[in-house]
Amino acid sequence: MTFPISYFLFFCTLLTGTSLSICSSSWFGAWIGLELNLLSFIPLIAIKLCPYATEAAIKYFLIQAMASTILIMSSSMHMFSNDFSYILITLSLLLKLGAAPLHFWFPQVIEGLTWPQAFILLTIQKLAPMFLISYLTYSSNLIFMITLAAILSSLIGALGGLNIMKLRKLMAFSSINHMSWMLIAMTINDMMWLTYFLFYSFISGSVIILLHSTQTYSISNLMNQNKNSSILNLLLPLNLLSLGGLPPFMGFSPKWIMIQLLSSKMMIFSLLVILFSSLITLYFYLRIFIPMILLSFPSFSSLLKIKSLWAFSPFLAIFTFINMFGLCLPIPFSI
Amino acid sequence: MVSFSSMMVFIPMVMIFCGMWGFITYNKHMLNSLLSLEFMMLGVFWLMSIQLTLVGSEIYFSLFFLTLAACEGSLGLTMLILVVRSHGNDVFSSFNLLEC
Repeated sequence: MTFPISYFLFFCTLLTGTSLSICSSSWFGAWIGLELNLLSFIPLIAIKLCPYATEAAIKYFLIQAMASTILIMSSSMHMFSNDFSYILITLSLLLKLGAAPLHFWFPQVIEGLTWPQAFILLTIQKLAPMFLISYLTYSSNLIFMITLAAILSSLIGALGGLNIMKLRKLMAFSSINHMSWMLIAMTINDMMWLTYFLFYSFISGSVIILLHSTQTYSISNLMNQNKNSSILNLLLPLNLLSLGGLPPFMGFSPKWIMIQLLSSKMMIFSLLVILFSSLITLYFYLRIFIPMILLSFPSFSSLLKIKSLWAFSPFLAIFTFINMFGLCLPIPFSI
Repeated sequence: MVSFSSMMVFIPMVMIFCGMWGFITYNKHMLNSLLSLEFMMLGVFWLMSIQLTLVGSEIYFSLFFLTLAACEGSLGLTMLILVVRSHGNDVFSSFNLLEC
């Protein structure tokens, strides 16, 4: 994959903006970091003159600029009224994140991107607002707001993905659903949501590498895969089941930790809502690959070329290996 | 402790909410959205100047703010040029390629 040299510069300033807003001790510094993040992500999206990318860049720019304006406004009126300004800051960060009551821009923006840009939007762009929200969990009002956003985003991420045929929108809704786990973890513990985020970004990265290497953008593209890549047809279900959180795979372990944590804190209601909605997301992951398995060729099982996987992409092999055996990862720590 | 009179904060807040009202409702053209975004930024600048003056903090913080607001405005104008080159106009109802 070739990319222009300016990508590197903008990617560096993107990471600089994220780390600046995480490390800053004032809301003004956090605002500067978020602005730097926004200003360097727009050129990464709109590097080609294509109507889809342009539209995604415009929608992303207007939403994020409004959210950061609200953030700097409410941090300026912080001394005037304390509670109201923190509520506004939380709302603007939820808008930047794309969490549930304010999620409407997120599937539309991700539809216009290519897979690597979608990966940046799904993981790195989430990092700074999530850290800033996790700094805000000290008063019971804000914790109530974040819990409400978590429950709503689990429901919307589950129900919104049911009727979607485009894989990028589907990844967006699954990301909204996973964000609900992170938000509910944020109200309990600072470390847990970061663990969940790392696991989630790893698994979604493996799915996105797989889909990017075959240039798949919708479910109908998956049916027309050519025969030589039948090993990829085997790998995609495994990665998607890991994203859904089935037990033999890696994606189960952060959910396991979270279920343990929430039930020890007696937050049974929110745990039930989030668990049921992630069951629904498992349904739409299954709907992606079950037609693909059923409609594949009869010679599928005899033509598996195991050796070609390593030659195809070493990253893919490593990612898939960790995805399948990653559940054994916490075992050394638990003994 | 500095005592804030509520009017000093209230008037810039009215300005910001007018800008937000314009941003949300009057969005036939994209230029209108960019202008109301800048209007909101101007209101925030007013609010921030009042706060910084009253606190006795250093006023040049607002220069950092103005620099970044100007960067954001110029990026908005760049997006305007980009959308005129790709879509042919800047009317929001023509940006419907990505809807659900």
